[in-house]
Amino acid sequence: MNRTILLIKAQLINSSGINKLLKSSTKGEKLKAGLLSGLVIFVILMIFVQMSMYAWVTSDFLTGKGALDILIIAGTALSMLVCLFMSIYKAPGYLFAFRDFDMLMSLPVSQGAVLVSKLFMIVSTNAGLAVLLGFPYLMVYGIKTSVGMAYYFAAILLLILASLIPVIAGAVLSLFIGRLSSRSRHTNLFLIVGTFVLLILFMGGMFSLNSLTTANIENMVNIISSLKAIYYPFGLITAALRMDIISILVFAVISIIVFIIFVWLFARSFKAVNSQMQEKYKASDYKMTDLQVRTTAMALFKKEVSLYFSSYIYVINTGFGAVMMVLILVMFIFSRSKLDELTAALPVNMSMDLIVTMAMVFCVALTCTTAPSISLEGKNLWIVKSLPLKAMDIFRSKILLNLVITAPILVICSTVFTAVLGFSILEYLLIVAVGCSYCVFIAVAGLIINLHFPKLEWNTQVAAVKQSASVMLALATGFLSILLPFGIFAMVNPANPVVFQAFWFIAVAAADAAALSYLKGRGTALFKAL
Amino acid sequence: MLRIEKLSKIYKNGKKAVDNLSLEVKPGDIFGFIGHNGAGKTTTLKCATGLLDFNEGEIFINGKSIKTEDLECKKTMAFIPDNPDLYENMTGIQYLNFIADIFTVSKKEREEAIKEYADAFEITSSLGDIISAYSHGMKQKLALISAFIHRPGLLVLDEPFVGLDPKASHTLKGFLKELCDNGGAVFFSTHVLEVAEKLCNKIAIIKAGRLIACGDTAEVKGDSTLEEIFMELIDNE
Repeated sequence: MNRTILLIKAQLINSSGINKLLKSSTKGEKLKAGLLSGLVIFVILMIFVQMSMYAWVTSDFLTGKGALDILIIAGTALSMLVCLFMSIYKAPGYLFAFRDFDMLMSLPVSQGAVLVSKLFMIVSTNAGLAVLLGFPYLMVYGIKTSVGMAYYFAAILLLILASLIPVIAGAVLSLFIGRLSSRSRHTNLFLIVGTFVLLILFMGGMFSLNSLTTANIENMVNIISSLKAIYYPFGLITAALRMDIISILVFAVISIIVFIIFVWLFARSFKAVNSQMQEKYKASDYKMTDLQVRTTAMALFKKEVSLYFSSYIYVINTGFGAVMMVLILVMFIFSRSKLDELTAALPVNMSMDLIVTMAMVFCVALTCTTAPSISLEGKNLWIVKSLPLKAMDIFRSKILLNLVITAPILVICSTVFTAVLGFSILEYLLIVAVGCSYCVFIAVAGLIINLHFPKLEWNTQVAAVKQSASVMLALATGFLSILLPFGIFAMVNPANPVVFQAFWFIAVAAADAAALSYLKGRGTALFKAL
Repeated sequence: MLRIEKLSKIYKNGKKAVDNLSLEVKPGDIFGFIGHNGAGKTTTLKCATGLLDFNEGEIFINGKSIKTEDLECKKTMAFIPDNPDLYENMTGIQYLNFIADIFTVSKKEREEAIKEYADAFEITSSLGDIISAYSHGMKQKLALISAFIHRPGLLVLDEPFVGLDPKASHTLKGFLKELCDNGGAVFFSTHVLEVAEKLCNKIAIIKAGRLIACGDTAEVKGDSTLEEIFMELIDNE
């Protein structure tokens, strides 16, 4: 068998966890693995359905304005942007300073073969993501323009091809970031801030797409024309999806050739780049100074804070909810009309304080730092397990980190909302009370879920933070915990929203108490068994 | 100091990793635990330090059960695994300070201890660097310092000499002897039979989870070398 294929096969076996599934000794483990696979398929389906619905709603408006092409650009741009982020995330684990570098380099295989096998892992997952996120837009475009079956095959092919260039851009960016990291200790901070700024801009863009009006649709068409001029493939994709064979071929040839050139060039310097990337910033000039003494609880909390902010992936994936709280506040304050539009668009008549509470707790549900926190201990788990610590001490530090990230921002945002929208003291107290009790619930529930579904063996933190069952389940739990009161409100339609909010708070506080009690008992036992 | 009574550990897949194992490490002992790969050494050490639950038997540290009083037991001991994965994004000094905080070591004591051990292992100048930049040997040295700084009564070490340069190995042997001279005890696994023979006053040999020899080093090896005895026992038992 070709050596590249052998390497790909070995990587697939190693990263897919197929052996764990097939060779699980107990029925319970097999059931757990089966349930997890089912959950992953369900989440994929839900994303596809949700994206399709969103694309359908947008298409209705765009058809009326004669600007349906925007769907193709939006779908392709979204999938390419996600692929770019994923490539930046994954490149450090797959392309640079990967764990099996020494082992692979000692084998009689070419650098090109190693590179291709590593790239295969990124390209294949990116292609899947590109189709999952971009195809709903292109599918809706196809339905609205009543094209033939060939269009849909072309759409999938073009999305897969379109995901190749973000891999190159992501690898180059990741290389640049890695080089910076080897020179300075503070690179992570700049990266986190930079990414949040980018995400906020992206959200801003999505928000303006949501609020398309006749006045700005023309503006949007102009922007897209400029985009097509700046990024040539956008124009090609649009033309190709009108089944222009030449455009399809040109786009395919451009994407593949650029990718081949990248592989060829990168393969030349693969070993040198990786050797350099393994070098870390070392000052080696430490002199003993006064050491700060902390209590056990503070030491554990400081450890959590330090590990949190040292992980770019952890912060970006779990901190955005907190940033969103501020974004929502700014958006509602500067664009009060949007708030009124949103209130009018809701299927039930909700008071403003309830809408604010819902928005705040939605952001809290997105900020679950505890869901991957046990998994992230990974190979370091022996440290806390061998120290004289109660499991609850460790849990408290993890919960506290989550609370410190969400609760202060929630209180500040609620206070500003109250001042701007003129809520009563009681309404304000209830917003804060429900919000804070949600902060506790999300943190404790995340930890419990992670204790049930730990992923301690991983090569990159991405696996624990983005691709683990516990994170998906924690998100689902968070959303369900918001949908439930929303549904009850819609069914009951209470005359006094303050009374509803008070009952809501009591229910969440009771759930907090139950979750904490479960964590203390069963959670401790699960931790000991890890 | 450490008493293991009829310890048995069965993994989920049904494999009996340790079978009815009993031994005692007394104050002043440097106790070597030897056996081939997969014999059950690491499992025994992890059970003894409270990292793993076990199915049968009891383990006592200073008379306290690791099952029911694990916190009290852990306060008086330190464990270092064979491949110590430390918090890669902490600096060396942050890690040591973290461990000192957990063991509530006073400011003066921790500063003195860190200086003493870091100077001896020659890594003081690197303590300000992040651990991911350390070599395997440096990580091993840092892990060892973290074990020594709270002055434990019992040290449990899994392959402590792997990755250490000859000078650091010599330094470590000195610290182990010093600990035992002061009434402490060391229980460690090793594959380096020469080290065990020269350093340990007691030896235990494990095969397929069962203890096949245990006692004073001189008694166990008799007139032969430890290597000869080890090979004979492993082949014949």
